[in-house]
Formats: sequence, C-alpha cells, structure tokens
Amino acid sequence: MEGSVEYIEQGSVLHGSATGLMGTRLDLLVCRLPREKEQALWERLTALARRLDAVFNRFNPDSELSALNEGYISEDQTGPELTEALALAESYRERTGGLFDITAPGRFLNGPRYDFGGFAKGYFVRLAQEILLAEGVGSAYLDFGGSTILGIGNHPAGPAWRVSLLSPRTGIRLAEVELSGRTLSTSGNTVRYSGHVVDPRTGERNCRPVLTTALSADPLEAEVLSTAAMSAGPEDLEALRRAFPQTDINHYEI
Amino acid sequence: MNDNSMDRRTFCLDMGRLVGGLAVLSSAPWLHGCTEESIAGIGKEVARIGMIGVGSRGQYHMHNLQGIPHARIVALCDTYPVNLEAAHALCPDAKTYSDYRALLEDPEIDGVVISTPLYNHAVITLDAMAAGKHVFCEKSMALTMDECKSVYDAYMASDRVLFYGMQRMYDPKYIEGVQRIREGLIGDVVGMRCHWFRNADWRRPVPSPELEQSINWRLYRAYSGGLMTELATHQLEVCNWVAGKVPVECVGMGDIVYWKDGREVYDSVNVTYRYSDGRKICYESLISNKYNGLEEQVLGKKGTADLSKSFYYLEDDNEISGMRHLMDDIRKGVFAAVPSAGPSWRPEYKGEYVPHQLASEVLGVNAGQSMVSAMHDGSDLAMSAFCTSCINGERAANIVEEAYSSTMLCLLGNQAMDEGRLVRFPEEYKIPYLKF
Repeated sequence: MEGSVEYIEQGSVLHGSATGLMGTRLDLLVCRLPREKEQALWERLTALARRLDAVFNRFNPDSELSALNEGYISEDQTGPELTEALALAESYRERTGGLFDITAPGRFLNGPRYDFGGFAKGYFVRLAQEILLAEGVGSAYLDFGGSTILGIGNHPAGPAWRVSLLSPRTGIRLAEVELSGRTLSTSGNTVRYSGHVVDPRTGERNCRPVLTTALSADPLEAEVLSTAAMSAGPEDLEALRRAFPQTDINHYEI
Repeated sequence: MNDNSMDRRTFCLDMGRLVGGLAVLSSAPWLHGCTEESIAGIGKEVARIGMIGVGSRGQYHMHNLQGIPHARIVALCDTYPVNLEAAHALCPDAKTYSDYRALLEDPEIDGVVISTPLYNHAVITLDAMAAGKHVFCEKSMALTMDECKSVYDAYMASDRVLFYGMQRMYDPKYIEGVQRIREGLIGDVVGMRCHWFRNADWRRPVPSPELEQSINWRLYRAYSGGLMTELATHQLEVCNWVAGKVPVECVGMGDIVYWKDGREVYDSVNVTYRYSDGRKICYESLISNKYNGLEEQVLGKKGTADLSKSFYYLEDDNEISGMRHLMDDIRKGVFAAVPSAGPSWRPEYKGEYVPHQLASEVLGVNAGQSMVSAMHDGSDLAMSAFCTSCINGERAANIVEEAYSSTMLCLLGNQAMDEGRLVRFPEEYKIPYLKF
C-alpha cells in the first residue's frame, strides 16, 4: 500500500489517500474533528481495508478467498468476515432473483467458485460507515475506487456532498446526486475496461456500453444492486426496484 | 463535369470552424490549397488527370476524382489488363494505356496520379515531371534513399507540382488534433507511441502463379519496403508533424513471425526512433493480431492524445477520481459537485482515463483494417488540393519534404532491422527542410 495525507486547517479537513487496497484506491475526507482523531480514523480504515484485502482479494494468491477457491479450506473453515459475506451474498442472490451471484459460472475462466467483485468494496464501506458514525463523525466523504462513494453529513461549504456522474465514455454528465448518509455505487463498461460483469443466469460477459448506479443508505446494498442491474433487462430492473424500494437504481446507455 | 461553385466549396477546409482557425495554416501550410480563396481562384477551370496504376488504390482515387468538380479523368494506364478494364468501366471516356510513357506524351493531360507498387514510384515521378506533368504519387516516396534524394532534387529543380498520398495531412481530425497539441492541450510532448495491427495475411488472390510478385508486390523486397513503407510512413509523418523535427537515429527488430508463406518482408516490426532531445517514437506493427488496432498516441506531461481516434485523456482524470477537484473546492470555500466516472473493482493494471473529444467534428475514424482506404480520411481533400494546384500551378508547402522525411525514416527503420544495429540519419540525405 502507498498512501499520503494532506490537511486543510480551515474546516479541519483531513484527506487520506492510499492505493493498492483491494486492488484500487481509497480516499477519505474527514472534517471538523481534532486532527489527531481524524488521522487515527484514517489509519483505522486503511487497516480495515488491508485486512479485508487479505480476505477477499481473489487476485492475491495468499488471500483467504483464494484458499477457499483453491480448496485449501472449506466453507465451514472461513473466518468471521468471509463467513458473513458468504451468507450475505447468498441472501442477495435470492433477493435479486439470481441477478447477483458470486458463484456465477463464467465469472472465472478456470472455475474458482467465489468472486466478491461487486460486493467487497460495499462490504468495506458499510463497515467504514459504522466506524465513522460510531466515532461521532458528522462530515466525511469516502471514495473507494471511484465507483463506491459514501457521503456523511455535508460538504464544508455546502448543504450536502454532491456528485456529478459522468459517462466514462464521453465525459458527458448523466446525473447529479446528493450524498448525505447515502452511498452511490456505479458499475459499467468503459472504453478500456469492459466485459468484467457476467450475467449469472447465462454466464455471458456484458460488453454493452452501459452504466448502472444504485443509491442507498446501505453501502453494501448499493454495491450489490449496481452490479445486479448490469445484468437486468427492463422487467428485471422493475423487479429489483420493487424488491429494494429504499434503493434508487438507474441504468444508463452510454 | 459539374463546375458548380457550391460543389467546389465542399472541398474547402472551413478554417473558421477548425480549432485554431487561420493559425492552422502556420503549422500546416500545405492547406492553403484548400482555402475558399484558393478554390475560388481557379474559376471554372478543370484539371485533366491521367491515372497511372488503377488497381484498388487507383480506383479509390478515381472515385474521389469523379466527385471533384474541378477534375476530369482523361487517361488510364495499367500493365495489368484486369485492372485497366475495371477502371475503364468506371470511366469509359478516358483513353487507356498499358505503358505510362505513352500516357505522359499526351499533351491533353495536366497531371498524373501514380498508384503503382512502390518500386516504381520514383522512376514514374521523375519521368512525369520531366514530361511536364504535375504529379500526385501514392506514399511512400520511393524504395531507396538514393531514389528519394533523386526525386527531391528533381522537384527542387522543377516548377512542377508534386503531392504525396499522405492523407492525414488533410484530415481535419489530425489537423485540429495537432493544432491543439501545439497549443499545449496535453502539456509538453514527451514521447510518441504508434502501432498498426491487423490479423490478415496482406495477400490478394492471384489468378496465375507467374503474377504472384506483381499482384502481391507488398510482400517482396524488390518491390516493397513492407510494413514500414506501407503503414508506418503515415504514422511517422504525424509524429514529425507534432514534434516539428525529425529523429536522428533508430534501432529495431523485424521478423517473419507468423506468415511464413514465402514472403520476404517482415510481418512483425518494432522500431524505436530517437529525436535529438531524447524523445522517442515507439513504433510497432504486426499482422497476426489486431487487438490493439491502429493508434497514434502523443504522450504529453499533462495528458495523451490519440490522433487516430481523435480522443485525448488527461493525466489528472485518472489520478484523482474527482478528489483533487473536491480538495481544491474546499480550499477555496466553494461548494460544487465532485465529478465521478469511476471504474469498477479490478486489479491495478492500466489506468482508466476519461476520453475527451479532440477534434471539433470527427467524420471518420480509420480502424486500420482495410488494405485500400478509409472514408473521410483526408484523401478526397488532398486530391482536390492537387487538382487545384494542377490548375493554378501553386505548390503545396512542405508536402514533398514531409513525404521525404517519413519515407527516409521508414527506410532507416528497415535498415536498422536488417542490420541489427543503431542507424543514424545519414548526413548525405539531410535536406535543408529537416530539423533534427
């Protein structure tokens, strides 16, 4: 992991930034707390991300998930996070009608069994949100990999945290959302990175120029549903919206 | 032939609409022949054109010429009767020849378009200029360095017009792209990467074995410089246009990796060119895998421009995921939306950048897979400019010099690959135009 911290005195804003966590980049802004406490929160969250990386990163051959996928451990030998995650993932598989499935065929070329892409970042952000709220944070902005963004409270100069969602293909603005106690998760195919979402029902890779978003008070739910929406047709999308009425789910052609 | 002035204006470059406006003419002075004033200046006159070589590329030029109001095809020449018959069917009023020297004797011809195999570009160009004809010759300039120098010297001693089929110089997306790069869009240019990938054997069907080398001339060294003179030449010219100078040396490796079918030219080339200031062109072409397609990437300190697709990407777009905007806003006490176009969870391979459109209007993007042509790639404008020059006798600035330098670089690249050593641009072939 490589990281840096910068600090803005006015508004007591600490910005922590780190790469190499769960295969991507983590940014956290914490505002209006003593600097030492903000620094401690940043260190706590990066430690959490490192721990979860050691659990969920399927690209890390030493991760717990790799051990499970390679058969070195069985489902009843997993640690608490992976055990909880497997149960949650199964629950989401049922509730999404199979649109979200970490065991979907085609997710891997050579058949490992579990892939927590479209889950693990949300799982981390859910835990991070719990920590921040428990520590009395009233203003924070957390961006995990650019595609999972949590806002707590408000921007130092505004009434909320506002995010402008741009098309990754054209840069054109698709939507603008306010995050105050909510997480925006996006999934989609970009110019260079396409076909990474598999339709669990068919095993086919989705290479269409689409972007999906889910906005929810629950970061994990946002993450799971933006992924599930990638494989959803119009009727599936309506079914998802009915099943998760508290989550705002959108689908864009880009 | 239609001589309607409105039609003629379709072959004008609207300088007012181009990024950079008239300033473009200082960085691309050859475009003077495409201005409205230049086209208007030729009145209703028509250039009488003889086609030398009417295979696929020659017929492509014929289609373009037939759409140009100030052009008329009056003669056709080819040594291969099949081509000549096909071309004559397109243009039944034109005279036909099997020997270009006979065509050159025709006083009713103002200019010739040469679309023959590379090995005779030089001799036909020299003969045509000696016969008093204006010349549009397909790239590359010639098969050898000596021939390039002979053509350049003859051109300098002549008053004839000479164009080369380097259509990117007339393609608005390249013109605007280079202009924006020069205006600092991507910061200081620190290097260039060009490649052209196809997955095809580069062959044409041969009706009879004795015609193999004349039809598939691209594959044989007596006729062709291979991938360098057929493909790289376009892309190296763009690099020099951007850099405003010419590399001083190169190294390379070339091999026949896949198409071991008796061909003599490489099907896989990698050449690195170095400018005097240390910047490099990394060039690669391979015709047994097309994943990477055709790209001309100009690498700047602040971003990257892909001239072929007419996109640019800013380093910051990848680096900050909107966070820098947010921090800058907080420092200024400004509340604004944080831009986000985030990718999904994945390992840290190549960064993800937001593409921004480079040119104001992109009519055509060449995927690089056709052996003949692409639509809206500047070829029609270049041909129109040639016909205008045939009428008013005005030469297009720098075209010959750019063709000379890019062809020389291709030949130097081939030499570096053949000899397996670093090759410097030879002093005896340096011409006054070239900046190193």
